[in-house]
Amino acid sequence: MLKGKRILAIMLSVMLVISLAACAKETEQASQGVTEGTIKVGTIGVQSGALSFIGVPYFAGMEAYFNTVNDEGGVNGRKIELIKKDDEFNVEKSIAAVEELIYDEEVFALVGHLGTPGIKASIDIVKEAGIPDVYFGGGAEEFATAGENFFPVQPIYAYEGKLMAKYAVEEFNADKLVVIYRTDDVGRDGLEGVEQGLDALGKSEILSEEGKIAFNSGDTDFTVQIQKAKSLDPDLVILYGLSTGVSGILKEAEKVGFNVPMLTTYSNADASFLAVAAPGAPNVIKNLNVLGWLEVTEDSLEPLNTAMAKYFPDTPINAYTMAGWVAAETFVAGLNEVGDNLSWEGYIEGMNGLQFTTGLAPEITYSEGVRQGVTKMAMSRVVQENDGSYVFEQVTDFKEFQE
Amino acid sequence: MKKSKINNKKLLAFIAILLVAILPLIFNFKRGTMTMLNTVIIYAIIAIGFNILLGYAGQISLGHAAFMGIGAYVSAFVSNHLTLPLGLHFIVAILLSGLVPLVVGLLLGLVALRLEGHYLAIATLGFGVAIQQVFKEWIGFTNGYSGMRADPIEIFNISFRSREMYFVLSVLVLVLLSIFAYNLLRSKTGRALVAMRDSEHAAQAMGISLFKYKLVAFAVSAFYAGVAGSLYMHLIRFTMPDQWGVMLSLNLLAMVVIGGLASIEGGIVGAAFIIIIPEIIKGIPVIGEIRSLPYIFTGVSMILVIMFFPYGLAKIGAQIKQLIRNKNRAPKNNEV
Amino acid sequence: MAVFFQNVIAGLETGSLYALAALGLVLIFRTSDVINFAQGEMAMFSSFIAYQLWKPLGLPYPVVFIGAILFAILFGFLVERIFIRPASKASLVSKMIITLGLIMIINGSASALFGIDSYFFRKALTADNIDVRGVIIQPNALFIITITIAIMAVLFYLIRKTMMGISIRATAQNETTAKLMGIPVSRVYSMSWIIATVLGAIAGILIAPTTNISTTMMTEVHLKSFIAAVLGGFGSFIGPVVGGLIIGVLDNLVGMYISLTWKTVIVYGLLIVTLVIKPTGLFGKVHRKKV
Repeated sequence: MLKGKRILAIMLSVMLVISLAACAKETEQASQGVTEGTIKVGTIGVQSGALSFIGVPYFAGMEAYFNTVNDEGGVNGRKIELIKKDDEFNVEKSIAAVEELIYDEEVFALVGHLGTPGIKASIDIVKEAGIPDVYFGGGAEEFATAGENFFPVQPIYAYEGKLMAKYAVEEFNADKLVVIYRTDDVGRDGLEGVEQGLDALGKSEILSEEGKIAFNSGDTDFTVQIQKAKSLDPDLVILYGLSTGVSGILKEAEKVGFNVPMLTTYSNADASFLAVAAPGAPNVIKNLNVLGWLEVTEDSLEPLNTAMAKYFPDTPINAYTMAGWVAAETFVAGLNEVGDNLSWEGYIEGMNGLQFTTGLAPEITYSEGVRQGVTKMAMSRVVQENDGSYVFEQVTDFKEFQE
Repeated sequence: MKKSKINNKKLLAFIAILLVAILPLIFNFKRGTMTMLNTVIIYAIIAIGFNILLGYAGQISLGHAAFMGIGAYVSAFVSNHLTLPLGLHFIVAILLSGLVPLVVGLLLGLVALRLEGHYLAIATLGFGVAIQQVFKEWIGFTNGYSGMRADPIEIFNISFRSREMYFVLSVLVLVLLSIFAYNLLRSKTGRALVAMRDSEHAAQAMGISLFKYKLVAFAVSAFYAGVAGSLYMHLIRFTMPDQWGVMLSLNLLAMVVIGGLASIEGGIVGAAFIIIIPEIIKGIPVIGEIRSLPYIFTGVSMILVIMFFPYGLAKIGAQIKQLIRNKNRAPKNNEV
Repeated sequence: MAVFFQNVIAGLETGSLYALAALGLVLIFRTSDVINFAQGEMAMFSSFIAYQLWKPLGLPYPVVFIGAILFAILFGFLVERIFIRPASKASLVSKMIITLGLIMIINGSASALFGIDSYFFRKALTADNIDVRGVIIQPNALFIITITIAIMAVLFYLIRKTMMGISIRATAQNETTAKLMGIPVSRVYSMSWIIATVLGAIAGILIAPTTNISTTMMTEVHLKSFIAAVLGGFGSFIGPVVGGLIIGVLDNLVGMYISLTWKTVIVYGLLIVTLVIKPTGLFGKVHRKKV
């Protein structure tokens, strides 16, 4: 009869596990993140494994901005201390990290939580705590309605989709539209937005059922998508997905000479996307347009480029770096608004009056009950410079979608 | 063991369980740590089930994440759509989230009847990928990429919302399922599974029905996976199709092998290793601060464990004993 | 009809890449019984080396190709020596876990050494496309298909007709007996890892123009190469090639004519059904086991 011994052994292993975890325990602090000279903030994102190509430049951008601010003396004399947590794009680790930051590290705010699944899963926890949560690295619609302590910044994918519909109708005068979308939260939300936008504009007939063409995130062969799109003979193709898939689609289009105007998401509005996509599709890419929510000019990027060269010379500067930068920018803009009233309520109140126009994004505003984030976007197209390189050139003003 | 000691043993076991369950209350762990401990317990449950399949029955599966996913979705779906007095619907949800994967597991067991070794491994991998795709596309049931939410468990007016209470609940389930596994493996079924693992032909010759026992092994392990999925769902309270992919299935395999094949404790230790080690490495000064070094070190630590403790962490004791015994047996050497 | 053939040709091209990766898997499996989960990551690493030679160093393509292969030879040798050989006594699942650990080590090293960005990589052949009655054929695609079939033929020849091949087959059948017959078993293991790594590198270099060079470039190809190997059968070198081609073409045809969103479910479902009907793959032989 070994049962008792067995159970004991099992329990002992559980205890071993617990004591193992106890080793990781740290001392707790009394205040919630603000001292005489520092403000402690926390961020969560993927730093290791397959998706670290998103999280690493993103964190670097954020840290580069905070470092710059700190080097200039901080905000009202307080330096910003950033605590970074790697969640490996894993929901349970993301949640544990959020809890640790709020309850154990006792940070003043969460800034730039990255990764839609982790953000969505932590909404309840953050809402319950009431801690300010500024900028989300993701574009799910839920973020805009989560609560008063949530401050989404980057455009929500569904909203961008709506705006794309507006551009399709007004700029391209499209009579026949095709949407090639990635079958995940990004692509599906984008597609849904396009549908809603067309509905609102009374133009839903230009996008047929066959015109909604899916691809999977790992796909390497885009023959089917391009053949299907080509057979519909569209005036405009919207490509809603991230850079790897979209660059593959462009190459396939180049191969079969399918050269029609195309429009893609702000996630691809950076130089590193062009570096990857343009050499394989030198002609088709000249017909590519992107929406952008950042004012990306040499002047506006100058502080970012300088800071990155100083603090993270080896990290690429792309849309993710800029996103991280804006996350930090927005948070600090809020701090400037608040002054010395550094409580959660005070910060939220201050953010409600925010009208921030001097950053990379043309305008970030919040008011009570309004948490839309950036709503103004402009369209750029790809042009070839004299030296053969490709760049984006802004062709429209920043526009909003109004129902 | 003498029979008179049974009561003592039971008492001992009872005290041990009690100890573990109230540990968090004594230590006053950080909340993030509690969440991590909860997930360790949950993965330990699925690892125990998986060990019955791999360690005892000798059948491999690289698609078990799918069962955990099914469990999670079923549990969320049932508890969101059904309301019974006293929170009984949570009990229904947990049971169903075990039973539905059990039925699907039977189907996979049928496939396993025809396949073995690497063919089975890859067929189950394909199964896992296909089911994950179903999670993505069957939006009516899973809500697709918008994700699914679930409520915190509340049974008989006891709320398991807090991490500490949830820990008590999941330890309770872990203990129940450990006892069940232990009894199952000591029974005729357990002996048949082991015989089947060691030689299918010999087992058949002795009148063991491969048909029956392969199905049993797959069904039981799928049940454990489903229950773990349910507990996961009500702990994290959110799920999306991305979570239930190949990587989780492979991690599961690593948990069982690193913890120790054919041992119930192995599942627990292995789950703890895979979940906690990366966090500990990230906390080490210097190593933890350099990008991608923690990831590399996690890989190295897995390989080191396999090389130095090929029978798994749970069997280190036995391994050392064996080593000492061998040395004692060595003719010339003096005492150890 | 042009659309149909366009899909088939592209499917053959993609399928060839699955096949190349699968041949490496099968080779390692046949000699040492290990499923190498890190095959894709190793290929990724070799492709990064190719990229380093091509862009930053500006070497001509043939040199880049050969350079990457030379690296792969060294790489395969080291991985076998450092990680696999010390665990030669470990069980089969333990070896699987070692290759899982390898994924982390190689992926982590790649992102530490080469960065986490994506990079464009050129095609092997950049000649103009050929238009055959509306079907666009890239010379590069023909090159990929040809190279795959050539490699398969060479492997087939090596295994069947050369001393090395006989050693590999003997080792695969029974390690102890092979040792008794004077076959340098450890050299055979080493050799099979080297060849497999080279095959992975070739697959990586050839697929990079589509997927770009990045730490995630091989994820999907790697998964599909498993499926190809199993569908065709681990028993021969023709099996994985046919398996790869079937998957490449089937993926496209199902996507084109049935459903893009349900494609994955259908293709994997067919895989399982095929295996249930033919448990050792299309070209596999049934082994009779003794009690």
